[in-house]
Amino acid sequence: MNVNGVIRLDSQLKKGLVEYSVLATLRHGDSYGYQIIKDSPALLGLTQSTLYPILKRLETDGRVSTYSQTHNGRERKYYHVTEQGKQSITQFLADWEQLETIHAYIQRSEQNEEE
Amino acid sequence: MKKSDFDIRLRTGLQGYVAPAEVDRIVAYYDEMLLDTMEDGTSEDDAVAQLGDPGTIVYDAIAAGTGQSATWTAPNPQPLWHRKLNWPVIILLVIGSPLWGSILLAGLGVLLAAEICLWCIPFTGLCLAGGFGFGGIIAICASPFAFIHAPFMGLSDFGVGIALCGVAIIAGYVTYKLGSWFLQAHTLLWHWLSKQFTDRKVALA
Repeated sequence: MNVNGVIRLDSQLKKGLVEYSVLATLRHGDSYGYQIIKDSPALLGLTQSTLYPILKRLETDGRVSTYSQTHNGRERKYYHVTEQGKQSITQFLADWEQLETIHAYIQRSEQNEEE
Repeated sequence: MKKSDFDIRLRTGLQGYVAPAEVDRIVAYYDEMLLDTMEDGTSEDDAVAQLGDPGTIVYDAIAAGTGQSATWTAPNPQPLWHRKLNWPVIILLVIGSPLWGSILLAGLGVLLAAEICLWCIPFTGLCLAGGFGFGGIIAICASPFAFIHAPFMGLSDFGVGIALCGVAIIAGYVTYKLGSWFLQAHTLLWHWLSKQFTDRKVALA
């Protein structure tokens, strides 16, 4: 479902999708918080407050590393996707095929009920 | 709201509930977000408004346990009787007793009034049950003597006595049923009151 340009999904599913979207954004190059929000798909409805726990989790899991750089006389934190992060994207894409199989199974059960 | 106000409210809200290193990290994150948003051409007020209410961010951070690192534990206050006597505080308490003492008395008065209001309905029910029951028993006991004097009076007296006892039983049953609700309300009131003294408070600036 799509309401006001923001995708409405089960919260757990959305959380997982947002994590991989952030990783995918970082795969294009190292980035900082504000830019990650701008580059992420608007459909996910990522905000400043929802991004923080995601970045923290990715960093704790070792999928993202951080470093600081001076920008206009202040420190700015940059995020870099690690090898582990890249592997997790590959794994997610592989898992998605299995998810599609499960999706098809669930869809069939609903079609059977309608009949 | 200005950036400096936002920073203060965020920091003071997080302090004591989130590990100090995490407080710095969260404040730095939002500080950077604000500066980047302003650099992008947004006014300070609008940039702060985009971040939302700092109180909500604080609650989310505490709820998510974002700051609870493995080694950090919340300060555990010592029991009152294990603490050393703080004489300046005791002297201040004694000097200020006319102020806090009157507030305490007023609070106790409100509590007493609440308890009286709470229990007056079951008390009234109990009085009704007791009064009707007593009247009914007296009427039944007196009915044989009335019957000897005048049979129709004795029968009427007996009937009224039975009716009064019936009303007393109904009043007693209703009071018993209501009593459990009022007891529950009383327990909730005291539970809430004790929580005010035992729970740690989250002060949001």
